[in-house]
Amino acid sequence: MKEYIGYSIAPGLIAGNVTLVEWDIYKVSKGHIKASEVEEHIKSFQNAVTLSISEIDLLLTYLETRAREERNILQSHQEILKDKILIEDVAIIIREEMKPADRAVQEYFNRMIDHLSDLDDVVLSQRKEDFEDIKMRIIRNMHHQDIHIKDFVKENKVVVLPEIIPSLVLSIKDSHPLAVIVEKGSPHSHSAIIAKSIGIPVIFNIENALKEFKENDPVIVYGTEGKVILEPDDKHIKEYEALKKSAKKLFKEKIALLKTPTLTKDKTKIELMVNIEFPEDCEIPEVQYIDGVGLFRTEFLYFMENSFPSAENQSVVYKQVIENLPKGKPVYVRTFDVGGDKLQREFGLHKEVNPNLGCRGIRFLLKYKEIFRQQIRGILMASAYGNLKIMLPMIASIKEIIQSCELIEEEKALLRKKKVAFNDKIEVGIMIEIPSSAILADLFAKHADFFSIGTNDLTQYVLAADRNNEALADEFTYFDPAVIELIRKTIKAGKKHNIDVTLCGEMASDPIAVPLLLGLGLRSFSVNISGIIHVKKILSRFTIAELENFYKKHQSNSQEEMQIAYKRLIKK
Amino acid sequence: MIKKNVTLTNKLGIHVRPASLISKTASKYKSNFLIRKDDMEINGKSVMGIMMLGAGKDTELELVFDGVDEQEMMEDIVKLFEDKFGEE
Repeated sequence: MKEYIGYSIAPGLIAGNVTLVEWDIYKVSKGHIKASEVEEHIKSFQNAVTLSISEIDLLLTYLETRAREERNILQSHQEILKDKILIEDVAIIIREEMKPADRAVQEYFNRMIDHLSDLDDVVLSQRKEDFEDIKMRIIRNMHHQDIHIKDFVKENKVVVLPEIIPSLVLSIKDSHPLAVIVEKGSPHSHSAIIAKSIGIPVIFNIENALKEFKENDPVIVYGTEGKVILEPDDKHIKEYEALKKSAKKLFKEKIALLKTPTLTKDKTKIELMVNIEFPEDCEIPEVQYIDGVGLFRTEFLYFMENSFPSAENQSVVYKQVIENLPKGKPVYVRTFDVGGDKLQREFGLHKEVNPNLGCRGIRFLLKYKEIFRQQIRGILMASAYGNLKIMLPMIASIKEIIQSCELIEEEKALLRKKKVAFNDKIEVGIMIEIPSSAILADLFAKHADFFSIGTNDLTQYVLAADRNNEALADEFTYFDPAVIELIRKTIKAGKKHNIDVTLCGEMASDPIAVPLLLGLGLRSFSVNISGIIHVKKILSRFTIAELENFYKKHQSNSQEEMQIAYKRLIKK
Repeated sequence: MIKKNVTLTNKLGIHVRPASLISKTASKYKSNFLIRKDDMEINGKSVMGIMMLGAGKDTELELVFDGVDEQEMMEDIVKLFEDKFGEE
């Protein structure tokens, strides 16, 4: 028995026997070709180029509205593939240097890449990645013209591959394998995006799988966890069978539970929302039954392409989220929370000694107003289609709210002029994650339509403990009395001024913290997708009165005592 | 034959997207189109050629148009440079 952990790409649980597929699609031929083979090699190269062009067509259709910037890059790759000079130059290498087609392609692009690397210009020399990409695509397509998916993907087997390419993912499901395990591969690659939708478990990055697995070895594939058990022992097999048996029942029960309203034991209605990172997250069945998206992180829009997309492109993404949710459910869009540390080069910023205390969140947005305006415009344009809210990150002062609202009003005026529809009453609220805003929540509440408490940053700033520093992680938590006091104050101020208060940090998904937060008066939780079910269950176990009393009894506890007390409470 | 000097003003220089924009626009015309940078001279209708120039921000280029529709071609191409290829 051996356990392997990789990236979960597509969920599902299955047991079966593996079939190994070994090939190295990128390895190019050595030596020279004969004069009689020249034309054949030129033909094979041209076919690979044609195949690459149609492969990109396929990808473009698939991506459709998903990633505009990505589409632009792919389209420009297509332009290069259609370049006659490229075709001629490679043909010359094949004909005059008598190199095999794959080697000729490799050498041609390597010369281009070397040339670009010699340039002083940093930005341009990075463009060699484009060439690298195109080179690989052609070589791959040249090699697997001979590979037929049916030859190696066997029905009812768990297929293990060294790597996978988008066109293969699309055709793989026609061969009905049980699951797909890939040795290499990034969770953000094209292949991964497509593999999510093929309906069988897919796991990437199981290192050395081809070396350590033997043909026909039994495995259990845990798609959701990204886990593979090789040669499972009796214990695992029993566990698997039990899981499989109960999975169907569980799924039914889960959906039934999700369909019921979220209530405490004394029937107090609680709002249960979810945090998402990508629009595709909304396609998960659980999301159909919750009260909305309490946090839509938008940073991926930047990091996917390393540039900020235009308002139009952003509005397509926001609309996509709205359309994936039941009608009328709120979506809290948090504007870009990026810091100067990640954008230094592009914006010519000075290196920050402490980026967490630097120009990030709203500070960055108010400094680079055009980026902020594009995002505001994108949200406003999509607001005509559903209940979007604007959530401002890293607010430290009321002035920042006022300045942001001025920009929002200016963008509204522009859209009005252009006769573009939008929701004029769109709510604008703030993240409570910097202590100043929590301390003066009573004042901040007059300027915001809602509060959303971000416990991760709040904890790190209140306790001056870097949240990424593992040595501090256990000692400085949101169970600290000072953090709890600020959360309590924020909730109280929200109630007083009649504005919504939700909590979207890790704390909302922590089963031990949920009863504490209810006792503090919180009635709206935004949790991770994986936390929906267990938070819903915990919420139903207690009455508000009992939790209020429990908090009162323990409010002067230390952090450690608090944690122990609530741990005991939920174990009861 | 028309010669025209241009300076690249967009932040990222001629990367793939501007290169394909230039070659696509140039290919609409019959005239020949060369781009010169220092001692390099390339065919302006080829994306690969244009990329090979490795022209970053503030680079000076000489554009050479030669043929029946050289005037229109020149105007169209120069406009691309002036618009910074629709970038910053």
